[in-house]
Amino acid sequence: MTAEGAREFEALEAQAASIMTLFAAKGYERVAPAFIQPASLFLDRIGERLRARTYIFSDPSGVELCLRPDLTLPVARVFLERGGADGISKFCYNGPAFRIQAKPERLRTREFRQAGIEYYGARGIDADLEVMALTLDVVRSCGVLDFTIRVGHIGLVRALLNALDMPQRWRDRLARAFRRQAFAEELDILSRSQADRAPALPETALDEDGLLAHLDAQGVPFIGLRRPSEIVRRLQDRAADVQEAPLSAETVRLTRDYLDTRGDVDTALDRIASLAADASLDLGPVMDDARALLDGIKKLAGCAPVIFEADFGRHFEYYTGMVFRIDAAGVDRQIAGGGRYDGLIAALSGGARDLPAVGAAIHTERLLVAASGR
Amino acid sequence: MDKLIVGVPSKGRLMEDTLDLFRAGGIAIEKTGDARGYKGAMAGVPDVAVEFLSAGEIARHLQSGRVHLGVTGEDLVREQIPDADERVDLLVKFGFGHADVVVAVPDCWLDVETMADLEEAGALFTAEHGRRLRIATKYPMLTRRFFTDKGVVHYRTVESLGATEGAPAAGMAEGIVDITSTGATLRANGLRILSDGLILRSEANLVAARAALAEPRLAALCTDIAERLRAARGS
Repeated sequence: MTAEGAREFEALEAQAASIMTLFAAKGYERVAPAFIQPASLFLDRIGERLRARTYIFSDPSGVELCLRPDLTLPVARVFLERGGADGISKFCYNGPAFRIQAKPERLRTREFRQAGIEYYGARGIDADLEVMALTLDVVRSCGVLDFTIRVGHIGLVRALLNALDMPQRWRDRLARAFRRQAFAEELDILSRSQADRAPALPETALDEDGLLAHLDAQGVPFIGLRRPSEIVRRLQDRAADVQEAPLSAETVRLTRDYLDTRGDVDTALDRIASLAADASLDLGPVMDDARALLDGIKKLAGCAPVIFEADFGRHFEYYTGMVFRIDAAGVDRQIAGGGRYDGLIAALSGGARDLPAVGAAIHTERLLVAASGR
Repeated sequence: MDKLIVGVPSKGRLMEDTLDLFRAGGIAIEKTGDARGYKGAMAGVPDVAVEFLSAGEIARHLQSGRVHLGVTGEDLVREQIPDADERVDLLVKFGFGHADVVVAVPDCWLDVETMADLEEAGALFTAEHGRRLRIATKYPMLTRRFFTDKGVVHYRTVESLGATEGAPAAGMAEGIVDITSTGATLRANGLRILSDGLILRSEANLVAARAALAEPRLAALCTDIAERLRAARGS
């Protein structure tokens, strides 16, 4: 452990015991993943920016390892190593996680204890609400009553893009831009002519055989693991982009207005519904699900404010549906957060297992600070 | 009285060119003690101690403050000193030791011409292969900063300690970030520089650690050496 005082250590231990009792009572099985994880587990999912906040080192054979910065991926790994059973599996954990902090302070330590739950195998909002309810139970039972819930919904962003008139590859581009916080720039690009995307190639090079023949004729060796089919696909996409009409001003305005939506849950959802209605867009069942989900969260929250933020949920590539964070009064870092990541298990298992997943993590030191009011 | 510690490259062309430039500025640097040793002095400047070090070590020691003034490449300064603009001053550009730090991908990737193409190709690669596109480099810091600025997130770096240009053909990486002077080695290895893939035009520089400049006597010595080298460059 870090330089915890004896009293703080005891308080954390007592808090941890009560959190784990709550999880166990709801049928969550405790797992204890390894502290040291293969760095590629995180690098391949989260990418290079992981390095800025994770302790990464090499063992003598040159394999990159890391001190786990979070427990969601390690728990998924435990689940898959056990065979990744179909049906419902529920896990909980409580243990240290490690992050680089340029200036460590009390609420941002290099080493902290994370408690959390992972719920695999259920797609509906009942599972979302169970995870939210259990997280709020923990927060309240530890003595924190003055808190705010912020919610976003990646599924709604996707539903909006799907309802708008544009090629699927542009929807994917915008979804990726959303995650790297460059949505406005990407919208801007797609609202202009794509003439400069035209590949400077003879049309005969736009299929695999043609590409390889063209490279051969130019004396360019084919190297690397990226396949000819991947190159051809992007060449064809770029050629198709040139023919495509740019996004209309209405589409751009509608998308911007959607992302600007934030505030009280009912007001925010009404605004989204009216934005969609004005443009005669059908957001489909995702909209009804989102409404039911947010109604449910409001009930669970009681008198705690619930704020919907349409642009919340960026940064985290693996989220696919609900995303949330909980902030306590007087603590300027989130005490808990979570969401739905239906693609995670499939991605980690290389497609061998495909199970929906939803989970939440609690920063227990911050929870203790919020509870003790110190 | 503390001496000004000056780090000078310990071998090769960079050392020779550096010693020539100092000589042209009227500063003769000689080794002291054993000829195979790494200590030196500037003739007629008693308050200076010269240390012969590798260019990489010079950058690192400028950061820690163990070396006050040093000759090294801007690429190494920016790679090894995270907050370089706060910690060091690049006083004189030497006009040699040129090297461009660039992003290069296989020339056969006809669909990837720009950094934006690389991001999109990287995202599709991750979906197809279940892992990130790998960029081999010995400049992970420069790579990260540049890729972030360009909005490229679908990649990861892999450490490369030598022959980085060979990594894609060997299947050890998909692309590279490396130095090049003419681009010939890149072409020979089937690689091509992206059109907006120039990260840095680097050359050898006289670099001062800010901490050393805080002391008036050391600062005066630095200024004097810099002036003489600037004059030599101009002549």
